[in-house]
Order: sequence, then structure tokens, then C-alpha cells
Amino acid sequence: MMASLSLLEMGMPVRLVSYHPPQFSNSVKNRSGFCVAANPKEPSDSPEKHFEETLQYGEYLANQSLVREMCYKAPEILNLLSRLGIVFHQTPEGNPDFRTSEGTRFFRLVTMPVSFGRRLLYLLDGQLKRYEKEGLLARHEGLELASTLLNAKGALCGVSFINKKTLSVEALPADAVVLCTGGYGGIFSNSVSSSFTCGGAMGVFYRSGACLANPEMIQFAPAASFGGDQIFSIVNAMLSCGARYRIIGESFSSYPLEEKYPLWKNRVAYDEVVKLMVDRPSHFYLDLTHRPKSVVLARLSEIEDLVHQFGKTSLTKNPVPLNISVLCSLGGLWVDENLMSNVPGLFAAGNCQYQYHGASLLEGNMILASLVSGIKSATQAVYYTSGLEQENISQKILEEEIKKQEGINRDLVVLSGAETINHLFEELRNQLFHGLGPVRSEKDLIGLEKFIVQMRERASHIHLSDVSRFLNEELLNARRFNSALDIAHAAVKAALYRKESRGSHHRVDYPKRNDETFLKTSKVVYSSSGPQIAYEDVDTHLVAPKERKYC
Amino acid sequence: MNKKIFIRIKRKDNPESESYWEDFKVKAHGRMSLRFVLQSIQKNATNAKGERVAPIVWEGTCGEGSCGGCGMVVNGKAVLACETFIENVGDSLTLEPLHKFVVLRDLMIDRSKIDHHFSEVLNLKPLDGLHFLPVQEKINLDQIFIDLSRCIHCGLCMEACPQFHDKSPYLGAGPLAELQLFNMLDSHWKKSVRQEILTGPHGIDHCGHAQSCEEACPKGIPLVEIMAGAHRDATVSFFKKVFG
Repeated sequence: MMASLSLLEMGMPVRLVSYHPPQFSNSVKNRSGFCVAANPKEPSDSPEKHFEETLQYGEYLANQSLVREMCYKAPEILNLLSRLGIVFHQTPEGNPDFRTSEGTRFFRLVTMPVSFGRRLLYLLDGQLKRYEKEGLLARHEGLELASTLLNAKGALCGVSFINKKTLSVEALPADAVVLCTGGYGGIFSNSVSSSFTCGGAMGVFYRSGACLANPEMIQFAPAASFGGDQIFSIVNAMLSCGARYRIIGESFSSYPLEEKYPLWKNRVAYDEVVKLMVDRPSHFYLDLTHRPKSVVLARLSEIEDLVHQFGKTSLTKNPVPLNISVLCSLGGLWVDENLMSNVPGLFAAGNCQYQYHGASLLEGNMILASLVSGIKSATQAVYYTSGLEQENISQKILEEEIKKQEGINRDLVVLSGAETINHLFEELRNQLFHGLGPVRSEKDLIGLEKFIVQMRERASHIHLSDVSRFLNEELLNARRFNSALDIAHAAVKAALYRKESRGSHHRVDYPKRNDETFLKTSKVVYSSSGPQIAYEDVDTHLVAPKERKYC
Repeated sequence: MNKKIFIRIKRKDNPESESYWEDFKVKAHGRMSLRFVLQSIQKNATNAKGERVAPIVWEGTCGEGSCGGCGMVVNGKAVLACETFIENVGDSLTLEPLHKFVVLRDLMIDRSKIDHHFSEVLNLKPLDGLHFLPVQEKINLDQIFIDLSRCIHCGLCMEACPQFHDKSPYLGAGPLAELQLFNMLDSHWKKSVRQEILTGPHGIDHCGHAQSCEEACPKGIPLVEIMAGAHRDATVSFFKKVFG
């Protein structure tokens, strides 16, 4: 939506296409707040420090120029959000109240009393509705990306969509597309992301020739889990209130992060926490019982309601049980410094591209990166299209594509195998969390690659229980499954080839970081014989890489 | 401990077709949410007679009461499926789509009416460019502001309200509460437009103080108090208009 708003502010008409309405976006769950080096009470903090810490957190795998740009832009974004109508927690003087966060020693996190992601979505959507009333924005909801069309020069010239209600296909000419479809965290079990975030649209572009970058980088993080079917990403919000990680056993209790990292204590990177959790997954908790009840309830009232609703407990009475979860994917489409992919005309913003986070994500940077990349990709898309020669794709090509995609839908409906797509997805998710999880080994990764190859074969033996031509979610899921498999295969192959441990990629057989060989971006290209891996140097010209230490 | 629960679901193949009931038996335990139960049926779409059927179509993505998409009527009460647990609704359930909106298929409704009603109260100050100048007016983070910000646009207040139906132009408690929120955000911007909406043909006059909106709200927003405030604002606005 930020990309759309930027384009509209520049006077460009926009066609905004989405599968879901904005309120169903994954961002509604973001309660972690927003990191910005603008705290007047932290004179030693600065955007430069924010930049250095972000790089260090990501173990220097992020290209530095873009990260620097993001951190320097953060104070401007804070003002923009305030003008938008986001009201952060305040000091008694009425100024934003900066709090502590994971991954930094500075008080840099601004939070809201309600879900930050949800309010941001509503307010951005409200601004877009204004343009919609004026006829400058055409909104198309309920469309799933089916395919892309490239011209003879390999540049983007069109896209096709499936209408989720009627299953009809429409093909549209397009000189530029800004893809903001999120990552692929949903291909894992134990994921905070919804199951829709399976990289469907990303996979379509990947198959058409767009490269993926660092697909093996997945952010694992502690998340609240009450034994039910859902896990909750509330850890950073609780840390901002002074929560402590705690191990509670039958006869002992300790604060392991405070013992291991006396300087950083509970603010170390999530992947360090996860490494400790792996050994004792059912004993880890996040404790706020030591904080005054009034403070906790004033700052975390919505989270208290959530904990009460789903966990039948209270933040102020009991520590919250944790489990290892997939927070989000860190890899995505490869894009250059203008956020354009190797397919000319395809831009990417937000979680569906690989820039900004490196090998580990500072949760407070997640929405910041989405907003900054949204503005940047929109600007660059305008520059790109203003220099283009007018070249209209023929109606015949569009109609042929429509027929092709409708044919794929018809073929899926008549399949009569024994497998069902929901079972295949569930199996894939569980296997990926196990084999491409927080602890990886060559044996598991090789086994996982074989499993994915078998999955491809099994996917051709599915049957659909739903053969309706109206709102057939099962059919669309079957189409998404192929994209999910492509991305999973790319991630597994890249993880197998990256013989080191860096950030959230932890190999038991290669436990050390290897900058000499692997301070590089993995670039993956689709081929029918399997993903092809190549490497590209990371931009490190601003800050020399050093070891990530918490002392 | 897992046990078999009996679920009767009101199904519909498309907006024009007739509704019909279908029964399912599912293994569940007390702390399982309805969302998980529906996902189980999706994975194994076999009805109580053992026949393979099309999976139930329903909406909602977040699973934690943030998106508002999984609103449905369970045993006669409008709830969010993700926040409703088996232990609270018993072993025998009836699931229906929300009654006051067009049903697209099974438990999925057409949300455009909910979206349209919330859009009617939207009169946000233009962003005036993506520049970095700070906001001029500080907004106090009062409890009422926080409460109003919790709305997830689920539409359950509209479902529960006896004044909200096909033949009524009433916007509903949720949109009018959102209007009060925007009054707090942009106190000088388009206040007169918002007052026109509040006192107009779609506005607060339709509220009959049934208080079912607050009871239905999954976020605990004090809608009764907010509607009372809206009534007061409308009355003040009326007297100002008449007497100047």
C-alpha cells in the first residue's frame, strides 16, 4: 500500500491488485513496533548506530547502502506515521516513548497500545480510499497471480490473474509491476505467518526467470504458545516492557540469557535465543511477573487480552510459555539497489525481496523495511517506465495466455489421484520445519531435497474434492503448491550449499561463520533439473564485517 | 483428551443457490479453536455419513482475532471462529454464516457492505505528501482512544444489532465508533462532514440502545458508552444548528 500511495502522490494512476482485502494481510499481527534512532533521551544513539547494529545483527549479509538508507530514513518515517494517524505510546509530556527491543542496547522501539500493523493497514487503506473515490486508484481484490508474460527482450510486458470467485482468467498488459506479496514463511509449520504466505506470486515470477536470493535464510524466533493450534508473535512487545527469558524446570528456574550475556541480557538476537531453546523446547518462558501490574496493563492491554483469551492466563501472574516459530522469510526475489529484479519491469518491496535484513532480522526493522522499500520501488518503477519505448502487447498473446491458464485449471479439476492438496501442504510444512529448521545438517537437507522431488511427483496424483467453478479455494491451493515446492527446493538447495553458520542459518556440521567463502548472496535460478545456485559479493564498502558479539 | 464432536454446518454453493445443512463429526479437544476444527474438516472433507464432500469455504487468515474475517454464527451467537473454543460451545454445534450479509459460499460472506459502511465515515486528512515534517497537533492517548483503536472491522456488531438490516440505512455501531475515533484524530479536519454523517439519515438516530453491539464485540470495545457519546454529540450539534 505504501508503494501505491507513493505512486499516487507522484500523480501516477495505480492498479492495485490483491487476493485479500488489506485487513487480511499478515501485517495485522505485527505488534512488535518500529525501530528508529530518534530518542532524545539517548544522545549516544544515531541512525549510524542503528545501521551498524542492523548489519551486525544480520551478520553482514545485507547490502550496506540500502540498509544505511533505511536507517537514516527511519526518523522521517516516524513523522510520516504520526501524520498518518498512528499514535504511539507516549511519555507524560506527550512525546513518543522509546523502549528497549531485541537486538539493540539502545531504547529505540516505539510501540502502540493496539496492533501496530493493523492500525497502519487501516490508515494506509483509508488514504488509498480517498484516491479511489477520485478515480485515480483502481482496486482489484480477489485476484490470484497466475502467470507472467515477457517480451522478446525478456522484460515484463503482461500478467494474468485468476478471479478467486469465478475462476475466470484475465490477462493485462503491464510495463512495470511492484510485487508486495510478502514472504514464504507460510510453507513452514509453527509459523507466525498465515498459510496464504506461501510465496505463490513469488514462485510464479521465479519460474518465469526471476532469481531468488538467500532463500535459505528463514528467521526463527521465540513465540508464545499455549498448547493450542496457534502461536503468537508477542515477544518483542513483551521485551519492550522489560520481560525476561526464563527456564522453568521441575526443580529449577533460571534466566539463561542474563547468565550467558551479562551485558545484553534478554536483548540478544532471536537466533541466539532459539539456539538455547532447541535443547529444551518445553521449558522456555517469557516472564513479566516481576514488573508492576499497572505498567504491564497500561502498555500491553491488547496482549493481556490475547493471553487471557488463548492461554487462560495473565501476563502479570504467570510466565508465558514459548515455542520456536518461523517469524518470516528473509530471502526472496533478487533485486538490485533500485529494487528491480533481473526481469526488467519487475520491482519488489517488503518481505518478497531479500534486501535489508541479511541473515537475521531485527523485528523492529520489519515494517520499517517494508515502508522504505515500498516508497523506493514505486519511485524507481516510475523512472523505469518513463524511459521505456511504447510497446503494446498484442491482444492475441493475452488471449492465448488466458486460454493456457484456463486449460491448467481444467486439467487440475479432472485429476483423479489418491492424494489431497491439504495433506500434501501439511506434510511439506512439517518436513520443512524439521529439515530446514533452526538446526540444519547435510543429512537432513539431502533427505529434504529427495522428499521435495517426491512431492512433485505426488502433486501430479492429487484429486480435488471441490470441483465447483465458484470460490474453489482447493483449486487455487493446488496452483500455489507448485510455487511453494519451487521455493522450498531453492531454499533447501541453497542451505545445502551454504557450508557455514550465519545468523538464522545454523549448520551443526559447519558451526562457524566463514566470511572468506560465504560472505556472499546466494542467487538461485529455476531450471527443470533443479535450482541452480550462484554467488554474488555483498556490498561491504561502508562497514568492515566483524564477529557478532554480545559483550 | 480428544472426543468426537458433532457439527451441523449451513452450506451454500453460490449466492444464487439454496442453502442446505451438512453434518460432520470431528475429533477435538477442549482447547481447540473452531478455526482448527474447520481446518480439520478441510483436510478431511468427509461428512458424518462417510461421503466425500467439497471442503467448507470460510474466511479469516490471522487465527488470533486480528483480521476479523472468521465471523460466523455459532449456536445462534455471532463470534469469531479463531477465538471460540470447543470447551465453551459444547459437543454439538451449529455453524451458519452471518445472517445480515450476502452469503457467497458456505460460511464466507460478501464483506463489501461492511467495508462500504466503514468507508462512509472515512474522511481522513490528506497525507500532504510523504515528507518528513512532524505532526502539528499532539493527540492524547486516552483509554477511549485505545479502546476505539481496537476495532478489527469484523462486522459482528452489525450482525447483532436489531436496527441493522436490509431495509435500514443505518451504518452500524462499528462505523459510528470509528467516526468518533476520527474526531479524536483530526479534531478540526472535516468535523462538519462527520457531524453530517452522524446526524444524517444513516446516523445515530437509528440506534435503539439495544446494547447487543457491545455484547457481540470480540474486542471488548465499550460501544454502549461510545454510542451514548455519539448521541450526545448529535444532540449538541442539532441545538447548535437550530440556535447558533
